[in-house]
Amino acid sequence: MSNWLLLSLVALVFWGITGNTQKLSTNCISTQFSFLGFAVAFLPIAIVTLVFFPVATSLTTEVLVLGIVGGILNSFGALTSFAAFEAGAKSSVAVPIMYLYPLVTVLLARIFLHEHITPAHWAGIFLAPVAAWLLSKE
Amino acid sequence: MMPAWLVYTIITVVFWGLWGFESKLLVDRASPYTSQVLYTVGLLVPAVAVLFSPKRFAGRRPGRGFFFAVLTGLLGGLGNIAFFVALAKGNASVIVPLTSLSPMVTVLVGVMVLKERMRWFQYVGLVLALMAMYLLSL
Repeated sequence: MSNWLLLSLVALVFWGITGNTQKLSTNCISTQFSFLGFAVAFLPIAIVTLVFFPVATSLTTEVLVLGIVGGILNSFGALTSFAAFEAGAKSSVAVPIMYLYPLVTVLLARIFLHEHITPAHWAGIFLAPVAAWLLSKE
Repeated sequence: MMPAWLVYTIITVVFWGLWGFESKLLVDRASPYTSQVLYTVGLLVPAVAVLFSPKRFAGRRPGRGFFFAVLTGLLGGLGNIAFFVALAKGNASVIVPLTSLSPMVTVLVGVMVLKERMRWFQYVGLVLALMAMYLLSL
């Protein structure tokens, strides 16, 4: 197996398991405490990234603002996902709904960047709400 | 009335969808490693806000809960690095759709290890969701 395929599978498995570990965390502690633990873990990852990977040393204001705002949006999403688990969401139901977020991205890119929506994207756009509705039914 | 977990789940979809859109603006201006470090800086904003919450250290089993919260961050961060390195070495048209299916792992672990139960129509929703994730990532 090629290295890049193996690394892709590592990402697939690691990201997948985070949905379960989030649930296990909120079974024991509050959303806020869980989020703090999650945030603490990202600090060594950032240090490892700074040491071992090519990180730009001079950044434009535009890149700084975009990166930091991106981090804020992503982490508020992480915070509300912990809140969903604390409110009783099952990982096997909530995570597949959460990962339909590219639907919002594709629509925003169409509206603001005038990106073309491919037939595959259209199919995904129509399937996503049906999938979310079926998954969320009790 | 919509259950609280579903409200938080939908808010998560919106936050992550906005982040995905915002990342599109960043991707041509900074390397993924630089973005990862900047996202971590952004993560500190909600983390500091959460420190003022009265529930910041609340929980019945703090040690176990905090362990799983840190594990969530570590797996998420290491998954990101594996994904970026894979993208640098391999074919994005395979890697992106493949890794978009990570909720499949969440469901497998949720059902087999955490003993979460899903109804038949939720499995149908899961299949549709996986199809939608794949199509939206193309």
